[in-house]
Amino acid sequence: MSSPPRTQSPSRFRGRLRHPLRSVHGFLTRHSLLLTWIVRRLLSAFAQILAVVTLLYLFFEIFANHLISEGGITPRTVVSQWWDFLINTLTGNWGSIQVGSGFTINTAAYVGYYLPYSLELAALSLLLTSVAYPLGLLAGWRRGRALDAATQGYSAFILYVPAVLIAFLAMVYLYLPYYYYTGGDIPFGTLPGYIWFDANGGVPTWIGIYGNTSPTGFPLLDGLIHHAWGMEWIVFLKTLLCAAVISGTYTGIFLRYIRGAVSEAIPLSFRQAASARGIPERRLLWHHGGRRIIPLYAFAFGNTFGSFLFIQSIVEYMFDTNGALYLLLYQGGSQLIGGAGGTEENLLIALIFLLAVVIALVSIAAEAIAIALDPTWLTKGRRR
Amino acid sequence: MGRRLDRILRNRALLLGSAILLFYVLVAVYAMIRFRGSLDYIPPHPDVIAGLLLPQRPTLTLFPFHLGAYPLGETGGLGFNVAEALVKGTPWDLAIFSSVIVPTAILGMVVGTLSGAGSGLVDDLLMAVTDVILSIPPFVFALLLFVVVLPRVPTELLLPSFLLGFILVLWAPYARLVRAEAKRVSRKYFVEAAAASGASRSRILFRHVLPNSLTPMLSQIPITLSTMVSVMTLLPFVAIFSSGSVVNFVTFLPSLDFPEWTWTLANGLLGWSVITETNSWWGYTYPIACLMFFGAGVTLFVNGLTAYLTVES
Repeated sequence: MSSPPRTQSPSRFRGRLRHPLRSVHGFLTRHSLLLTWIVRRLLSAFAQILAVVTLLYLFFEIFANHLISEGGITPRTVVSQWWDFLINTLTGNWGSIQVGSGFTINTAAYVGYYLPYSLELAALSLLLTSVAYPLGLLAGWRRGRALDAATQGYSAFILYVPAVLIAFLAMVYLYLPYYYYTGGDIPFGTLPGYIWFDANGGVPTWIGIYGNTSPTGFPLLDGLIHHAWGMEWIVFLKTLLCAAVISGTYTGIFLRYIRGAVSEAIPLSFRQAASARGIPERRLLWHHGGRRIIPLYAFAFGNTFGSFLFIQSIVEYMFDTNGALYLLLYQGGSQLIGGAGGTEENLLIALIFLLAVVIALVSIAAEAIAIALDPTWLTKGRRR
Repeated sequence: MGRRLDRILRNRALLLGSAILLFYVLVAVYAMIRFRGSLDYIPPHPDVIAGLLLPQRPTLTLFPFHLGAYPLGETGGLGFNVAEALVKGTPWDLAIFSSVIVPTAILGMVVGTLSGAGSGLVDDLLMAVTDVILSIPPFVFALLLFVVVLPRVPTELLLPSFLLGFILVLWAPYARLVRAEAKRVSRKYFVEAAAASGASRSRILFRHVLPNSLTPMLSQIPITLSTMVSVMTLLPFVAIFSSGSVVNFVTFLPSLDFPEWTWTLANGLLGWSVITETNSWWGYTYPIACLMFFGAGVTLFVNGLTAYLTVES
């Protein structure tokens, strides 16, 4: 067979060149179903966010009686105030809050100080949660065996022992071992305590207000950048402790959703056909089964992400971390005692709004991954 | 009948779950008879509140059997007698859990069926509302209720308002599950046959589609219960730890000395200490065991019932 000529006329060459617009068109054609689904979901997520903001407005402006105190409710005042509230919330104009006596700070900046640690903790927790992948696969594959029974028992235990108690018990049993291991530091907070800093040359200059580290704000990353190995080890230990509690609890919830679904994803007929062709069980399990359940895991993660954040907020609160979810419960707790009102509610509104946005986006992203890996999800009627 | 009974008797999960739930019902009946007139009140221990005394240790001994005044000890915080609080709390908690689970299941069932078997517009509208509810985690919604609504509600309406808030949030997962099942069922031949034989739309919906879409809904019941327990434990816990005491605490209960399991547990947690000698472990261990045992009963019952109904259908 003769090879194609190396020299081509300019016109023929132009015809074969993949124009960027042409490749975009090709991508859009290949993934049109998925893209349509993503656009629909984004639009519905925007509507959800609007509804959440409206609920926040109802709770904080109508129920908290602000309008009545400002001269009575009329439809006109309600609509104009709702519109202002909506625009301010969506654009991140969350006002300011009072921190300490007489010191106010912009709410968005305040949340910004606490956000990096929550992200860092979530990343480490999710990394540890990846243990659910082999566990769920093995339990669903070999149903009725010891591992399956243990997984079921663990899931049931986690279901009825509230996450707050798991975090509490972890704190009870880890307090003293941690204290002795680190030579006097306590497992609360994100950074080492003042006693540790005093014994190790004082607080470095790159740790600023509210324990915010520079230049990135991520304590683990900044410790690495500044080669502060002693502090890095303590921060890592504390983060790992919290992440272990979060992932231990969340894995129990996640496995409950996953276990039954694994056998659905890898039906008996599939196994029998593969065995009949002489494929060893190990290869069948990890190579074929492992791939088939990834979309299922992504889908389950999207559906249970709210639970993950719930657990993380509890753990952050219990371990007194420098995280944004700690703020949510701390402010909620303060207002449980003092009642709603004051500038603290700006923080609560901002955090709940951010939470709703994150949940909606992560849910869409997880489901999009599931659909991209297994497009039959779109035709199974599980989602609209 | 004989075959059905035989299948029930061979369903170990159903039998064990029923036995555990029956035990709780019997305890509730006992509490209502034994503590008639004082069922909504546990006398707090004034010296424990003032921090003058450590909570009492459990006085129960098995060999020789002896109950004593505080069989399961005393909590920290308000200093409740743990055994009395748990027994008196049983009828209240059974009422609280069932008054949320039953209406949420019914509401979710109706919305899910209407959505699953309804036209495109009805389906889209109902599912949009469901998605909005699902996008707010239940604990955030409960926190909002606690912070904003409850302080403005009269004391006698606190508990009903709180439970109503739960119902407004927790029906959404049921609606999703029932909708998916109703969509599947409404394509079955017997539904088409009913439509062909002239059955009305409402008859098809509630006589044929709904009864055949119920089984997956049962699996949501333990999760609803778990969510309730989590939120009800978290709120008093957060409030107590934010203030360090139970004074001035806003509660969803009619009063601070009201016997309720999660409230007993929250008080028990206040008895924790890092020093082993002063750690009142009984204050939180027994309420946790009580909640877990009840949860196990509900889960086993629901799993057993699902297995029974699945084979039956």
